[in-house]
Amino acid sequence: MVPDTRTYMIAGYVVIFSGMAVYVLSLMWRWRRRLAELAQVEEELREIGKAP
Amino acid sequence: MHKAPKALRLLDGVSVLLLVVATGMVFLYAPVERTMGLVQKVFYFHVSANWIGMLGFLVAAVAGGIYLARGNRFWDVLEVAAVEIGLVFSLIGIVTGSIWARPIWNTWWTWDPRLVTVAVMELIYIAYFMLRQGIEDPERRARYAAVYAIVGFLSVPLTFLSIRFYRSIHPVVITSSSAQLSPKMFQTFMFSLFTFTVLFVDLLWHRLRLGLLSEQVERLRMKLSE
Repeated sequence: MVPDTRTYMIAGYVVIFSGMAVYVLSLMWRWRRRLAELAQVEEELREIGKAP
Repeated sequence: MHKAPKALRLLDGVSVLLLVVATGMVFLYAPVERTMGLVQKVFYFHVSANWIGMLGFLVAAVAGGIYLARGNRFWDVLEVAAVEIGLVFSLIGIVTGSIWARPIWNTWWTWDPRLVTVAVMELIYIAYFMLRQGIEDPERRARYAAVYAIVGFLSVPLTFLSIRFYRSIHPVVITSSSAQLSPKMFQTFMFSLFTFTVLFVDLLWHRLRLGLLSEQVERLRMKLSE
């Protein structure tokens, strides 16, 4: 008889997909934050006449 | 520069599609293993995640070597990107391995050579980021990190070969002479490896762009403070 290990399989795939999703979301979040920082620094450089 | 290139967006789509197909193969195509039951299906993505981890550390070591030879900051950014992805996927591999071990070995963790070496490998690369945090000068940081990425890579073949060199309860699925899998399982396994490799390239590209953008922000900040 095949043992019932369904719960462990589900737990394994939850870890895999949630781990990948969290990483992708962290990439997106960091990208947006860096773009906002870039816009801010460029604005400050423009104000002091050192525009890139 | 800030809009993702067409090729990258295409790669995003291909990666998602491959992941959907690989998941479908795992659950609908590959047969259920008789002695372990459904938990054996974790194997396909568990090994693939570990493969990506090791591939990431290999790319980091190569990038580190090129950085030392040429001194171009691009290779340092690539190295960081590869280590970060390697760490994330190795951690997924460790956790899924532990979940798989619980019903099969009756324990979440045991001090088996494979488990010990993979844990040490993970710690070595966590320390990589601690090293980077501890050095302020960018050139010095990149140089030390490159050397560390090359030396740290020694832990990767040691981890891979640990189940072949030492007595271990961890299964060796692929040997030099054969694969201990049915044809459908083997096809699913190979497809999963391929899928995760494409996913790695996709994520590496995204992480590289993020690193280059961060460098640009830092450069402008330096200009601002001059």
